[in-house]
Amino acid sequence: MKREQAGNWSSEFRRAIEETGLADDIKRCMSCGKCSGVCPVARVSPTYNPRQIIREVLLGNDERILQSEEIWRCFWCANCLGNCPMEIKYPLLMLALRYYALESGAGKKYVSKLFRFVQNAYQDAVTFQPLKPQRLDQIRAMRSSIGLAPLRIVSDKGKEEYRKLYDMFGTLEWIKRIEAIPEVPVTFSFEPGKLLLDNATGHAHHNKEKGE
Amino acid sequence: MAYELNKPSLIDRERVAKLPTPSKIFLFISCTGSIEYPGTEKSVKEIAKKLDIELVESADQTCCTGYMLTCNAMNPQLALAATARNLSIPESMGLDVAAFCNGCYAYLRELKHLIHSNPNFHAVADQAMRALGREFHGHVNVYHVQELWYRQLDRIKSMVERPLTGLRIAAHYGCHYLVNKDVAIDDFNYPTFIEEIYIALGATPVFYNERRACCGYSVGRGFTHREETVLPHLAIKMGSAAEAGVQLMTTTCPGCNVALDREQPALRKMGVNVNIPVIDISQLIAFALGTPIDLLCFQANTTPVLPVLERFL
Amino acid sequence: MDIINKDVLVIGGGIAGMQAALDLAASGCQVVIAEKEQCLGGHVKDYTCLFPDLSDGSALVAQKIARIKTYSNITVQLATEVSDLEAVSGGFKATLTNNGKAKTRDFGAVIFAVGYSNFDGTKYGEYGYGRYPGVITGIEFEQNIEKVLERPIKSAVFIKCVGARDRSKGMPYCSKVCCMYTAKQAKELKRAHPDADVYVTYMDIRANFKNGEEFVRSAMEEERVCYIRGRVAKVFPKNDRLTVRCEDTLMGVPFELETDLVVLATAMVPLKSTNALVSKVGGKVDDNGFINSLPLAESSNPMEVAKGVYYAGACAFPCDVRESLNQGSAAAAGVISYLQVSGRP
Repeated sequence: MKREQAGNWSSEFRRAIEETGLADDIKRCMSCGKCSGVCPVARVSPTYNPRQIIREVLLGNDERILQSEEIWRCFWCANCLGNCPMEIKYPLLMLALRYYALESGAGKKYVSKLFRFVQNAYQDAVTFQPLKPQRLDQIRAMRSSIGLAPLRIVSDKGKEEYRKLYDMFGTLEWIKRIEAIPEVPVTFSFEPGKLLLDNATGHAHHNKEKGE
Repeated sequence: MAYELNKPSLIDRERVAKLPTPSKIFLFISCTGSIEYPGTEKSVKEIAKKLDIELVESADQTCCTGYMLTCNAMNPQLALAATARNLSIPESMGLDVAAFCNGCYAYLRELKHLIHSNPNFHAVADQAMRALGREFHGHVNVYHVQELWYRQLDRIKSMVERPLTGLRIAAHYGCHYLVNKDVAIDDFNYPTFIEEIYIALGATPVFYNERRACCGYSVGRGFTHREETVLPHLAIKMGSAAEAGVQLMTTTCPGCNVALDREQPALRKMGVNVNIPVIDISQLIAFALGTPIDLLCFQANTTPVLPVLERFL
Repeated sequence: MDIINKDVLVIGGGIAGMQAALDLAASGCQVVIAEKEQCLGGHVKDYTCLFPDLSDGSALVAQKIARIKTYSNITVQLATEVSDLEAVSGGFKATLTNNGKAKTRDFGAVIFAVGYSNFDGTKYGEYGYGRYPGVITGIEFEQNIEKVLERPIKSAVFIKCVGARDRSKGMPYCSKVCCMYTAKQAKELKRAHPDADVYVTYMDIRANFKNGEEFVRSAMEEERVCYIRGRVAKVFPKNDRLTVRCEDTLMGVPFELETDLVVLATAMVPLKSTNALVSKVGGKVDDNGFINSLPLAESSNPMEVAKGVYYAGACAFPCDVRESLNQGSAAAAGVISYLQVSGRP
């Protein structure tokens, strides 16, 4: 494993993340590991380790973090936050890191497939409205059969105001801008490793797996 | 595994007592809920009727934007503005808000908190409200129907018409209600209030080992990492439920419901022996209170519900 | 009556209070110990094995009690609570309540030695204390040590910092002694069950006592207790045993472990009743509820809380047995000087 160069760590990166207003609580981290101990993603994804990610951000290791596959794996299940003795809002750190990564084109493939929902919502102010006529008919039939309006439709005023917000904050332009940034591939950035404790013999086995 | 309910509970009884028993409240409609499981929306309305709660809706209300925000699919300013706008509607009516989706609940609360705790975010909300000619001051309390139902559990219990005797149910609390530690009525790691609801309805709660595991779908990982992480994770969760003999599962979030209900065929292909219907807690309560079965719209579910519930009809 | 001849009230008959009473009596003061339990000795009478020299706490307590009995100028009032306290000219008026009967007496000085309680482990829903069999606290380990060591186990996990160093649902401070007594308990368990796997999960190891570092290292090196750096995330029952989920942060790997016994080192916390009583005589408690001494530059004795009021022991912050004894003697010295100085014409 290549030796890290502390000179490459960027304190500006750490400050930028803290200044987003979403993650200035990471400074309280004691690296106790309760988050990683309970994280369901860490359980199925051996290189994903929330404690390590916080540590990396605190050190300012921007290159490794921002081009990592790992930051895209968090489920936002908030078991880390639910157990953290410092109540660090780790999911919001993920939000901040993901935005930051997107600005350099990393991880774009993980948001591209979702842009269409935001773009469609410009028309009807609702998310996940199906477009296939068959599915729409199905939903209409179900809802009508139980006495609800066939589809939940937002009022014209509501749609207009929603569109006004999109225009005011340039959401569609923001999506176009992110789409236009050349894609940078993300890779597993952390050292894979799995320690298995054999309870019967008390021996520890190392089981190094690559990636997933 | 019925070891838990006679042991110390972490339910915050003081907070429960402070929950409202409103005569009128604004119902926030979930996009996923109204599309995927209309029976949930209907059940909420049926229960409200029985509890003399007038639900007010507004067609002006849009999506909460939380899901797409947390998927990083929109710029955050839009979510902040949309939240201020959505909450200004009940605020102008002098009403609090009840949501039936953990996602809507958590995102409305979190974005409202960010607006009022961070001057930059506050400025975004102000700018939006001014442009729309609306006002938002933050004088709205956001609740989830699960806590409103629990608040009136005694009343609900007295109205049970179909006691669910012998039904082994497990609660999926999900992640986004309990994590609001400043207001949630129960402990994030060891909640038991939904099990108390089950007991009031006559059923048998089951505590399976992975009961606190996430549904995996929260921030679009079902779109981005379904095979890599979400399905292996669900296999562990639902496998644990099946092993514990769970017959029915309830959720408090249409998003969770989609994951736990609709992924079961894929899990079976992976070798997990699971066939557990998953319905919303409001559908369960409405069912126990005698709501006509057709109104509960179980045909929306992928994993068949009636085979498990028809014996109580 | 000159203040120098006034009685001294020691609130609490644990080792800090007993030490203070003994030093006061040896100097000629009249002392009253008000102890709310049915016997003297506080917590230490239940500790049969103290770190790091493994001496017997109950024997230490017995020795103190025996010496107290030799002083006619120490009056021990058991099952007695101080239900009221008032600063008056020339000293204090204290109401001592025993069996519902209240009696008010005059005192020249007061020492608070009310000791501590333990953090309620049930608040940690993730550990299942009070719900899953096999999860106990460090205090329960001490109080039931014979039974605990007797029970056959293949594995045990000690969890440190329960209710301590936790800004979320515990106390923010470090409870000081848990690292040491956990090492001691781990050693005891390993000696009783040499083939068992005994793990101590930690964030840090704070062994700042004489022979402390050597003691903990000997637990690791000689007794082969396995120390894992990581705060346990979850404990739950499985296969008739307990499963522990944790991350070995030094290795960077989350793991699961099956075990038979989980011991929670719960934080020492102040008694809730202390604040009300100490504020009646001009004393203050900190944000956590522990008694605050006067700023060091303002007082002539470090145990001074207010004029004529002193403290000793864990009521001001978690401490070990030796420190409690030190503070008991220091408080006695403070009272003696105070009475002498105040009594001078």
